[in-house]
Amino acid sequence: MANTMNKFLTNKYLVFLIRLAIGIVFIYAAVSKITHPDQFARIIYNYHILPGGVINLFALLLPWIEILCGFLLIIGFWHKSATVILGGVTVVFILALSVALFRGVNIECGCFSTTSKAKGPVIDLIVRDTIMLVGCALIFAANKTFLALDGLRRRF
Amino acid sequence: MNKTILQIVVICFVAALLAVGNNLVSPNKVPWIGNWPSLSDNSDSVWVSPSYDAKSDPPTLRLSEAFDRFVSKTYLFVDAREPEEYQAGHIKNAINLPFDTFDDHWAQVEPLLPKDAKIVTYCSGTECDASLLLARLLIQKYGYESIEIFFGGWPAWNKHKLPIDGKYDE
Repeated sequence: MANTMNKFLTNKYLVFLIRLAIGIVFIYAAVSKITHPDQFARIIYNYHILPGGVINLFALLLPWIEILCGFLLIIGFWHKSATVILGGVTVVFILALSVALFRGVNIECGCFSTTSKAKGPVIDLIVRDTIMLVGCALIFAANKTFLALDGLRRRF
Repeated sequence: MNKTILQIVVICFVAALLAVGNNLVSPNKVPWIGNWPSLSDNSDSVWVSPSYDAKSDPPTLRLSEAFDRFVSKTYLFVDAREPEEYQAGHIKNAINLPFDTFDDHWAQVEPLLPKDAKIVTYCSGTECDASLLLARLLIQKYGYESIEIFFGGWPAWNKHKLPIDGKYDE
């Protein structure tokens, strides 16, 4: 039974789909942050976690890491390294959301949009990020190179 | 494993280059080091009412201290402003006890304020001393023991977009 489950989870088509999905999600999430770094910085500020001096630095750098890793994940180049980075970023998101939840701070998530006023319950966002993290762990552990440039490199 | 670490470093480096390049040409560029107001920057919360007497009056709180108390969830915040101001927006979960119309509201509010509660009073920042007068009244007439005054009040809280009920002032 455990073996069947294992086989299913590391099925190359499934892992490819997860890779694609997570890549698209991060690229989509990064676009509005890149076009409106000022608004994204304001959202980070509202979390009241980072010191004021590094907020802009974080707001400028993070979306480019997301977009680059998302792209690498989709084309499957250095995909394990990109997965590690995105997993780490997701852990940071989960920690930040948890602190906000604990403190009762009003936050705009800043997850996908810098302009949306929609505020979902923070706990939902934490659950969603946890699912993403599991996806990252699966990609890393499965180490499949179906439709990935890493597979070509391995072959030649 | 070493290969993974090297790749991670390269990816971060390339992302940093892209970020720098984009921020040079972007119409929405922002300075790399932002000038965000810090909660522990006390420049806007050192004001105290001229009638405040440090020897006999309750202790005052800076914004960062008030936020620490808020986060601890063991303090009751009491808003000494008028009900209209309170309803427009107030510190999250604060109780309204307007000083100017104290007698009209006390009967309703008293059950919410146990005598041993740890209380923080506030009002409209530099423009008011209702928080101080309310604190004095609660201590001297009603026997409350643990009261602190957050003189930065609603304006400081609003400016830093800390947790509220209602709406932020623009």
